[in-house]
Amino acid sequence: MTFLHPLFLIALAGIAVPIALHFFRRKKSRPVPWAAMRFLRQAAEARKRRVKLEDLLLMLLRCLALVAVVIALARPWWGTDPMDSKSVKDIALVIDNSASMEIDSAFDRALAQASQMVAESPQGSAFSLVVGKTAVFASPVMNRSVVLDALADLKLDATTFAAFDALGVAGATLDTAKRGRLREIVVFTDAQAMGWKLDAPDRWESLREAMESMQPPPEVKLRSIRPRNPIVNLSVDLSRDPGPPVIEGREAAFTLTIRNVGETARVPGKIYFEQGGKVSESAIGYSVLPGGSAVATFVAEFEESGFAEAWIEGGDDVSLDDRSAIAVAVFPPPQVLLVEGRAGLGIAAEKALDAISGVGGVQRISPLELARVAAFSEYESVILIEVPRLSALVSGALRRFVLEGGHLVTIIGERTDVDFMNSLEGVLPAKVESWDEGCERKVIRGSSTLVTYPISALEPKASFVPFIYDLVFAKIDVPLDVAVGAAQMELPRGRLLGGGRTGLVDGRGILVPRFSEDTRLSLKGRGEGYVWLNGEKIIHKRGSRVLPLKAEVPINIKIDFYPETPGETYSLIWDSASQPWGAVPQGRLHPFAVGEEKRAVGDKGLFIRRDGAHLEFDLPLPPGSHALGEGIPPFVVRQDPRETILGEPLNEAQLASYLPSISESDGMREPGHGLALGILFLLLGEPVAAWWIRKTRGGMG
Amino acid sequence: MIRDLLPPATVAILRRFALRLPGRVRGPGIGIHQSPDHGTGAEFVEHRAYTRGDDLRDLDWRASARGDRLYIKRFAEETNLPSGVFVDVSGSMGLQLGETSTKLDYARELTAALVYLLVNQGDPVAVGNFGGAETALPASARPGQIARAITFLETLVAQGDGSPAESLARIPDRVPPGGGVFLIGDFYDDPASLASALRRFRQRKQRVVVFHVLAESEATLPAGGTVAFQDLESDSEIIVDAASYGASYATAFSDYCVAFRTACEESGVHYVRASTSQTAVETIAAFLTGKARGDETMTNPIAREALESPRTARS
Repeated sequence: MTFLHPLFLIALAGIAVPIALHFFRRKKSRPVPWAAMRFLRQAAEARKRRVKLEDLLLMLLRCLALVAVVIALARPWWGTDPMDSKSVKDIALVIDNSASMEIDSAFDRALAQASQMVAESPQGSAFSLVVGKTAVFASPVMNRSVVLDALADLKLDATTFAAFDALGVAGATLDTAKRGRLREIVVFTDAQAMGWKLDAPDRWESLREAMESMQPPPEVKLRSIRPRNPIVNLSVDLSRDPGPPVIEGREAAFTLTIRNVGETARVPGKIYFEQGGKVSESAIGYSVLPGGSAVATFVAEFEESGFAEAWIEGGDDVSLDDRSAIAVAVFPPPQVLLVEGRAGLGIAAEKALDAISGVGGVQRISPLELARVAAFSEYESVILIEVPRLSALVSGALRRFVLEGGHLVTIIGERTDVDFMNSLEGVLPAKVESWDEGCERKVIRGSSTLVTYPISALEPKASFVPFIYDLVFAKIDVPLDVAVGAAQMELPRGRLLGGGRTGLVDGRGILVPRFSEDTRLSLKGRGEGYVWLNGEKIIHKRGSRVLPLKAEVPINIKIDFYPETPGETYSLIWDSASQPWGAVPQGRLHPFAVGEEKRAVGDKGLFIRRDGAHLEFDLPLPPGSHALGEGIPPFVVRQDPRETILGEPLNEAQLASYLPSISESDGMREPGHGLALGILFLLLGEPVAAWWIRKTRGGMG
Repeated sequence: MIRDLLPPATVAILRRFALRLPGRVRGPGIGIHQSPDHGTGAEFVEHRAYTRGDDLRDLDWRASARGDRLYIKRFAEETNLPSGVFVDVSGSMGLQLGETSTKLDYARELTAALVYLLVNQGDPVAVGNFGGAETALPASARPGQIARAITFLETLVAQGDGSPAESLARIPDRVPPGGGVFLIGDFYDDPASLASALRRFRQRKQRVVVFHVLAESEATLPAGGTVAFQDLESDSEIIVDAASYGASYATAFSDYCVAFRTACEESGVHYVRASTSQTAVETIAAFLTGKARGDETMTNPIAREALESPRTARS
């Protein structure tokens, strides 16, 4: 322990004052002639020892209070002597700016501690500053006022804290400084284990190697800033109920799940649901225990694509997760053109489509009537059922229809002229193979679907309805790849292809099985993934599960995927008796125009490129709802909800095995709170003790 | 001198009272106290049949005229009471009550008043001291005894360090049996020893009145700070923080007062609290009228309890 102002310690000599006073007071007395000495002697004999002890205790308390005040003025420091010139270092200050740092003002406390460290560091120290994983200074800065100003300007942007990246950036900033000076990385964090990825030892191994290659290697220190009180936190999660796509003018149900992710029970405040400028209100009148949840349901009618947003009122420690939004893609009632090369199947398909709620209209024609169709763009779907051949005019129109995003389903049957179909370029997603009764194949590419199917399997009406339903609603799809920045993105209904460079990629969708059969589900892609079916987690990180899926029963799928490297993709794979191994098709998204497209949104420099079926965001997206305009599906960028749940603190011993120099007991710590409490206790204790002693002695004076 | 201890105002008050102790006494002369014998007193007792040799002056002619026999009127004998008034001269009686007076001065005033009362009603009274070097003024019922007593009292000095109990034990022999004894002092001694000494008066059939002289300032320790308490009976000194021992001292003092009061009652001694907050004549008046005044000037509850306990017990 050292002192910032050791000269104050001279004042410790003042301890002689209460001691001297103690003895001086005892000797200076005024003489009083007294008659009843007999009783005074009795009293003195009875209380002499206790009075002496009490007086001694009082004197000790006074001495201790004086010592504590003097030590506080001298400002003790544990560990490294901050005034020692040998301790001049290049220090990288890493500030955790994750959502959980909002709890109990941890972010502000972190900034205060960092500022204090900067202000009281030895002359010659230089600082770099890393917030989240962004370096504020590319190399250490010696001008303290610049560093302090930068710290004062910081705001909590509540992203996900990735300790691995942050330490890497911090090490890189230190490596730009001249060699030979001591180096230190101080991480101000709430030590939530989530951001530390301790279960990925290969990452830490590479980081350690990188740090050990630095000259000299930096010492990593941890300033743990934990909340002082039990956390009060409710998080809300708005989701759409399983069902068919949202069709214009039809009601859709939304579920708001309120989870108590804090440490104390809480009665949720009022709940609001907003859609299209209309706000409805609800309430949950009971207390939600920690770990428990409550659910509220809202029903809304959409006329066009947009957002639904829900939030709860009433303060808790983390406001970021009190609001949830989802984007809703609203589809016009699809117009379907049935071209029947086989009459019975056409009629069955028409009846099936009529039975499906939400279909706008069905037109059934023969192949010969195809030439009279003015424009295929009037239809969302064109279904060719065993059409033997197409004229050159019709095949050209269908090619344009497909390129423009139109949905073409080609069902191959025994009457189909396979060679002719294979000669069509840009219409079918794959080569057509020779058909036989036992064949079964389905190929989807772009907006075109090629189906080869046993006709006998389609003839029973019961199985034909879901088959058509699946084709129209679930499998008519434009696959869309999305690459996002720091935040996760939620698209309305469907899969996300493409990994964010960091953080969580969240996919949601609805799967309607055609047959009741055992289906094996697995996740394909690097990184970790979690799959929930109707709220039940079926895949944890890796592996697969065989589930008995039921025909026509929609299943709500939710996928959380954590890519290991930027640009990664994942796919949900299914495999069953009726379904060959392949990616589960996506929910239908809004069709795009063909060709590359770039748009800039505000001053964020957000670019979207349409390249086949690909969206690319060059910059991290700010959390919130994004509607980029006509022809682009609205989407929501969310915070990682886990960041608002303060889990188990970091296991320091575990961390030390990854970074040997890490130390939670950092070198410069001022015992401010403890000392202040001690002084307060002693300063209050002395008069309290004196009062108590006076009271017990009778207070006759 | 006489005017100091017996100012005219005090004398005027005392003239209204007579001091009679309970019980009958066979004194050497005529006085105001009832004797067990019949004699020439003013109080009629009974009629008795005339027998030869009776004084004819005692014949009740009226009663004899109503009957056929002669009757003699019999009167109670009234006699005087040989008494002794003894003053405690132990050092503790030297406690200053104000700038000029001490507890001994207060005891002198009480003694002078008692001597005046006794002599005025024809009782031979001796004056003496205890608790120090013992001296005495022989008993006399002559009016000059008052002046002699006052002169004697003025020679007394509170400086003894002897034990009041030991000294008290010798007093019964200095007063005739059946006589009255008035003891005035603070009696700071072991209550058990005092009780033992007081029992001797009973053996001698002497009637004893104790005037327990207590100063208000004695009941509690003085306020604040460290005080060097100097013993008035010896050269010893105790230096203590008065506040630290206040409660213990008051308790010890209170216990002593209760114990001494109890010792008096058990020995058949009439106990009178003589608080110096009252004048001596007020104390005498309260004693003579049987109304001991409560000491309302005491504000400390422990002290009040200490000084009031005898009165409460008596009432």
